[in-house]
Amino acid sequence: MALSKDAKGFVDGVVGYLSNDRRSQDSVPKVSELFRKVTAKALKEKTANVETAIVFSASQLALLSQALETLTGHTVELNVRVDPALIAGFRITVGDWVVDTSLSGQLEAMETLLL
Amino acid sequence: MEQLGIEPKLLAAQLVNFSIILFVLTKLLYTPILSILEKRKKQIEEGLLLTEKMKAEEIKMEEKKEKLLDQARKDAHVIIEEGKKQAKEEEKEIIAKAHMDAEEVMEKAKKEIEHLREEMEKQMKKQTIETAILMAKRLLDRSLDVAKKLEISDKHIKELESFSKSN
Repeated sequence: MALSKDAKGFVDGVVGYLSNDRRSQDSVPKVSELFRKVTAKALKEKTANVETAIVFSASQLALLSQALETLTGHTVELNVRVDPALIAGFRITVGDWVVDTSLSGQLEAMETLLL
Repeated sequence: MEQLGIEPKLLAAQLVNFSIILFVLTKLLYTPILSILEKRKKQIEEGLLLTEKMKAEEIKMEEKKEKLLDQARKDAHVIIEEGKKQAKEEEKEIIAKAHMDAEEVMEKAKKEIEHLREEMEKQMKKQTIETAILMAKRLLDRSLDVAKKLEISDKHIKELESFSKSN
């Protein structure tokens, strides 16, 4: 279904905003700011729960796995689940360490900030 | 005396009779009547004196009554004036209190209105934000195709990779 001109403008604005195209730093954090130092508890975890908005390719999963290995210092088994409600992006949970880059998560963060 | 027709014996007898009658009348009638009259006169004089005394007493009482009435009138006037004064003061106090109460009520009402306004604004803001976020989610979900979603995911994976290397 085609979006109206206004709706398209609104979506483009939100996507642009959430894709760090904005210059303003005073509202929703950039995606890079969502990555926090891995906690001690997470370092001991061997499994990472990964929720994705769409089905990830093998190469994407490999890159994720590699990044998590670098962060934890050991091999981490990925437990992948697709959740379309995330809209785009992904959410990784390793123990008590959570990284949520999903558009849904960012919109919810924006909502929390605005409220 | 005989030439004049006066009998000396008869005259003497009449004198004796008269003296006796005089004596008897004096003793039996005149003196008691006089005494009674004297007594009566005394009573009347006493009555008159008493009457005078009573009149004087009455005048005195009347004066006293007038004085008392005057004093009572003055006292009543003072009491009424004091009552009026007190009533005015009480009226002022009541009015002042009523003003204060009214101001308090107004202030309270203003605060309540302000509180309600703030609550409504808060609710409106919350609803607007929630609606906007929900709308954004739905619109994004409908407008982003798989390619765009992949592009976003790739970008985020690269950022995570970059973060992992820097830590």
